[in-house]
Amino acid sequence: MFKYILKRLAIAVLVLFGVSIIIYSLVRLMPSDFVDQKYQPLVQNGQMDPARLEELKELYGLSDTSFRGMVNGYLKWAGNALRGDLGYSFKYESPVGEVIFRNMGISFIIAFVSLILEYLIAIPLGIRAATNQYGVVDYSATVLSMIGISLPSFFLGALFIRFFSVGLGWFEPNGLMSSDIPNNASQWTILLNIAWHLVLPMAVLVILSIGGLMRYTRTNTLEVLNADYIRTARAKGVSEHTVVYKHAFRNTMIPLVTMFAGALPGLFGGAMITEEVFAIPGIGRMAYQALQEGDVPFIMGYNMFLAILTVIGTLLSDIMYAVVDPRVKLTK
Amino acid sequence: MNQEPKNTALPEAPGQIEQNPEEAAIRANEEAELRAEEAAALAAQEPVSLADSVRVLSPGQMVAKRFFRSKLSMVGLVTLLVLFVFSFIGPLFGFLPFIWGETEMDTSPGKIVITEKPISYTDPVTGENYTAYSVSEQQLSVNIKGAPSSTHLLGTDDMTYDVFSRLMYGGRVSLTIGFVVVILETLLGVILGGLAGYFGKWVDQLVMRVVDIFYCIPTLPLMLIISFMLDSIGIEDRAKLFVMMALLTLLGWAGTARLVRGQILYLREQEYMLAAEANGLPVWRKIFNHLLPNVIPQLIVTMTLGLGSIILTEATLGYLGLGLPAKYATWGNMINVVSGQNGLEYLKDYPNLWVPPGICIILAVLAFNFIGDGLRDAFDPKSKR
Repeated sequence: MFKYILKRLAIAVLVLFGVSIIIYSLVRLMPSDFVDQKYQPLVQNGQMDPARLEELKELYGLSDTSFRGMVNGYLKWAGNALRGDLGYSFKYESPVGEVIFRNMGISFIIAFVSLILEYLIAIPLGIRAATNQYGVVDYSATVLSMIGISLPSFFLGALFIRFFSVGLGWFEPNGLMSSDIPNNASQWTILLNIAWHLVLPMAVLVILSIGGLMRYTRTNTLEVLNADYIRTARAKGVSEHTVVYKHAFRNTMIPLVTMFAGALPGLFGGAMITEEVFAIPGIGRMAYQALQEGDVPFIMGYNMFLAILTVIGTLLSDIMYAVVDPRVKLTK
Repeated sequence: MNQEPKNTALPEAPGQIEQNPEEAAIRANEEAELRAEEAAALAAQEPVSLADSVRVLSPGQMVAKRFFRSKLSMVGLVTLLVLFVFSFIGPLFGFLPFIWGETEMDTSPGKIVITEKPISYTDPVTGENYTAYSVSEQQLSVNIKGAPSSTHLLGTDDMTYDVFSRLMYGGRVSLTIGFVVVILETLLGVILGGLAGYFGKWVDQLVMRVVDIFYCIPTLPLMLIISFMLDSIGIEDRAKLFVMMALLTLLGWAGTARLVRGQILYLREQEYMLAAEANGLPVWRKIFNHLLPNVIPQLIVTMTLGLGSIILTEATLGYLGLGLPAKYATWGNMINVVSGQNGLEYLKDYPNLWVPPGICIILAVLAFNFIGDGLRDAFDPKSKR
């Protein structure tokens, strides 16, 4: 197992290298860079000297767009990244790592609470659907979960804002905190206010991903319920409740645990579209805005952060699989 | 001791028959008739061989039977057909009053807008404050944001384009992108995954590492980067459609390749492949006649489910304003109005502009998901239904 993990880690390093090269070259190929976007209007107005623009580009490391310049830029970035320095964000004007960690919190809270809710709703529903296969519960749960999978997040968000914010006035359409909260408000008021603002985005996330999880639980439970040891349990007179929720459920959990590990990137990476729709200042929205402005270090940092999370998530879920299910042996 | 229940049970049985002797007689008659019929049928069937009396279903027929029996897949199929007819044949009915061109402007005078401008002034004598309203009525010179009517079933948008007709053109884009990308993706995935699975060793290593890399690249941020890039290079118009298709393919083939490779690794070790080897079949026949046909069921399922997610990605890009230019109708572009400066106004007052395209997206994706799910069940050899 130790050898297996070592090998997987070695491959992961290789993969991450590939990812970083692809993303870096793409970002650098963007024809209008951060400096252009920010200062071009000033130059056109005559408020800024074009020579100064070039100087700034030099300073940001964006001046040399030849192949060699890009290779050098990449090597410099990669060297710093290996030492844990992700560079300095142009847009947010502080170190990338710091920006990511500062804004990860709110995204993490949204994703974490949604994830817990998803599991709490989807697993019982999936088991009920499996025990009543082809029944009313099964059909309605299947149809509803399919609708959930098919919903575009931005459309669901827009509908929610239309009905609950604009229509009923229960929530504010966007933002993290009401603007009329006084400066001297107590911690609790602020906390409650923020929580209230997060209800809609969380609802969107839960509705979108509950379907997949439910279907997964259903399929697994069906498979387990057909196993021989379930027949044995029934034959020796164990009550149906114990059969389903003790004998079958424990084995249904195996794939679900591995899925939990696989949810890692989503947990820390933020939900770009949902955050953008509700104007929640999480990491996803920050990345989106950085993308718009060509903030190379931040885009690189964010994408590498996501890629690392994906690599760790896949590795963790494979290891978890072996930990939870003793029949699985990690070899190779 | 045991006799008591017996005693109570015995008289009841004959009692029941006694209660309605007519019914019993009818039943006896019916049974006799049935028996006679059966005997006659058997006599008629006697010369027919077993092969004729038993219906033999090929695996394909069995799959089709299972698929068409499932209600959800039929719902999906019908929805999809309706969407296809709507978006590809609908615009051909241009002579109807409510079908407009994609960028055909309605220059008829639009609705009357009433604006109230408050004017406050202070009476110089008494010092009291008054607020007067200057009310002006103005008819828009063109039909901007018109309400639904008989010529505009879903009203017009801020460019006076007809929303209902643009839904059709949007459907063309979404469905075309979906199908083209899925087919290209599958081709690429089958070729590379097949190579990796069949030849193994360093080919496998190389292909799978590339697959890993593409698996780890976050799709949405990358698509965003590239869309920004295309916008600033100035690739607009229809050309952008092709670039987007190519990119979606490039980002999506990894999953297919992984699936095909896994299947081929498994199939390669089967006995029938050993037989093929022993018969001295050439490599191409082994791959195309013996390996690939066994991967096709899974491929069809992933293709159908993949179609839905491609349509979603395309719509998301449109919503963010990074898909095709705004003048082209796509479902995502049409929802884009709610994300702009006056988003809340559109959300509140003009649901006819953004709800219909959203419903179209859901219907299309849902239809593909239903069909894919139905196909998966139908292809499943373990399925009892």
